[in-house]
Amino acid sequence: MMKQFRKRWFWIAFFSVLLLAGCSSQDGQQSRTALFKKVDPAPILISPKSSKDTGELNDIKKTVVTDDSTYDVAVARKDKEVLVSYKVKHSQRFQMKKIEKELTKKLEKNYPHYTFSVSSDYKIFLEIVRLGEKLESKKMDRKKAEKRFGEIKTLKDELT
Amino acid sequence: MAKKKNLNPDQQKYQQLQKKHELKRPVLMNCIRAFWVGGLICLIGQAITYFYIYFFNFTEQTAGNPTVATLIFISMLLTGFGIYDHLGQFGGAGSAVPVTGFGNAVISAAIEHRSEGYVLGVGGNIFKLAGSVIVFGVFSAFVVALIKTLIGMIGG
Repeated sequence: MMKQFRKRWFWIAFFSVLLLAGCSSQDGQQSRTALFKKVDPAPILISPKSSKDTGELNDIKKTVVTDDSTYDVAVARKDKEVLVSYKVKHSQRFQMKKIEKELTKKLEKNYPHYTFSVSSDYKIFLEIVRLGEKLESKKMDRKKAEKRFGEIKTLKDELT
Repeated sequence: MAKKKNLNPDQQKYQQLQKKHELKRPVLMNCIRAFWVGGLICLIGQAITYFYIYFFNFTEQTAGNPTVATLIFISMLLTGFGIYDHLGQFGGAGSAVPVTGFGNAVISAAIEHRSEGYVLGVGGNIFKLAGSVIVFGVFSAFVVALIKTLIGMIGG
């Protein structure tokens, strides 16, 4: 009986290890905890290369944070395109679509010279944080970052 | 109550005797157990969702599909190992209502009819319990899609 019990646990442990094997990540401190904790990532400016002013992106971030239902915001800009991702407070998660609509309207009204992609998806938030870390540690050049920006943007429309 | 009035004295006496010896169902305790076991399964599901979001290219919206598949696969394995039965005995509805209960229903039916052969036994009976769930799911999805299409056509 005991032998059978041990054998059973051996198989369970074996499958668990198999499932989790190869999942060690090389992520930075912020992206490692981005899904669980408030990380408050700095805004990312991919292009134009000449501009180093993230002041306006900080303003965009503040606009989203001051909304009562959101709490952690990641912003990335490539030329005239701005990707905004935020986390929604747990009690407000039933109104996610409404919040997204209102925020998009608000941002488009306040900053008409940009086109916005607004999303509350955790994956998009995580990918923006990862992109920022890679750019900061110079593991990724601007060209690749621009390409990745486009890929992250398309994640929003993915349904399958 | 109305049924009891039609019972003859002997039957009534027997009913009273039965009532005296009948064990009371621990409803509250069952609810608490179901709550914890069901909650634990959902917690594991949430962890698997995060796993897919973190390590694969799934978004919050699309991670649901592989999560459900993984949970069903794990519950099928646990049923085969005989562990899910113990969980079911302890948690009751808490282990049957989540999607893992579906995996358990499929595999337990297959194991039960194994001795009758692979085709007529396992093949013929594997969906004995879960078949109704699949039919109901597919049919209700069809009806909802039909209603949505009709509303879309009428509303423009």
